[in-house]
Amino acid sequence: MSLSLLNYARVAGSGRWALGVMAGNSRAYHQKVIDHYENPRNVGSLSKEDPDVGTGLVGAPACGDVMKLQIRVDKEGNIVESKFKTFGCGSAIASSSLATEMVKGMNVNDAVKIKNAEIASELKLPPVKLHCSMLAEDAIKAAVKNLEEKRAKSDLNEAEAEAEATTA
Amino acid sequence: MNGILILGRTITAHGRAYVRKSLQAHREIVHGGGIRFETGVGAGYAGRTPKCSLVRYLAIKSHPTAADWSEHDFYSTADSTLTSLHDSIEVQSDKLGGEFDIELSMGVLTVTLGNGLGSYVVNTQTPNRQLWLSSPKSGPARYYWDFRERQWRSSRDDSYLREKLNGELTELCGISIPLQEEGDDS
Repeated sequence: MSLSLLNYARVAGSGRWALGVMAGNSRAYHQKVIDHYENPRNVGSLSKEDPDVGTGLVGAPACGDVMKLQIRVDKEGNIVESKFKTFGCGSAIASSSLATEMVKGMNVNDAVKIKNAEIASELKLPPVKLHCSMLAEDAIKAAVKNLEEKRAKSDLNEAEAEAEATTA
Repeated sequence: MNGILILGRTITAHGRAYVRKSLQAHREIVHGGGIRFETGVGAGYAGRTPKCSLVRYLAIKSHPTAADWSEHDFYSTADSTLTSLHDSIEVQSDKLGGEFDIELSMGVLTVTLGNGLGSYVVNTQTPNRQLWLSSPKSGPARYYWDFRERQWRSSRDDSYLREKLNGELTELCGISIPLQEEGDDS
């Protein structure tokens, strides 16, 4: 273990070695990634049973990256709240943290248009880490899709209830 | 892991119910199979296995063609692809300037084009039997092995890895990539 790595770990504190392992001599993460990793925005969960919450869960545990991104959407389709939990590398955590910030206040129709390249260029991700930004893009899309399915189902239930009420 | 991947790509309502019921069994396979998480402790999960993720993993990521592909056989196919790509690019290196660099090491092919054109990275992703491409032109993409076609194909749109690389590298710097692997007549 190099001296620079040890120094880095001490500065980062809280015994989190995962970041330090990648941050060798020349291959350090960009400051923006470290910032999101150290101070992730919007970590947490929304109740996935709520009718106005969409949950996107993407990634593969075997590959080491799992990302959960949730959105709460008002009647006009605007995202009022977003939370994430990510298990993975620093870039995956930073990508999903940034994604929650980006989608807040957005309409879902615009949120699904967010491209991985926007996330990657904002975080200055190196080539091998572009996949992390793609995972974040997928997570947003999956969350919106989940909400749409939920709403379609509840519309159907309402229609059925109405039909029953009419026959009764 | 093979037990998990058997379900295949298309998950029907019946399939989803099956996955739900089998979640406990899958968890046991995952733990029993000795798969460890090595990329660090993320925000939130703090190293615990996020149990629901397996369902999504099954629904999206598995390709039935890779169901019972041993790690050894996967790696030998992947490695011969990477070696072949490496060799066909390297012999055309005269088309690029002094910053050009190509390296194949530990299942990762890194091609630095130089002249501000960026870098291509193709790496083996052993757990899901894929090759992952990072392109400075089109971003990230994942490829699975199509046993019938004997080609790596995009998990998103079924396009071919070699066609993609050939198209982009020809446009960027005049480097062409053979659309079939050498010595593969099928």
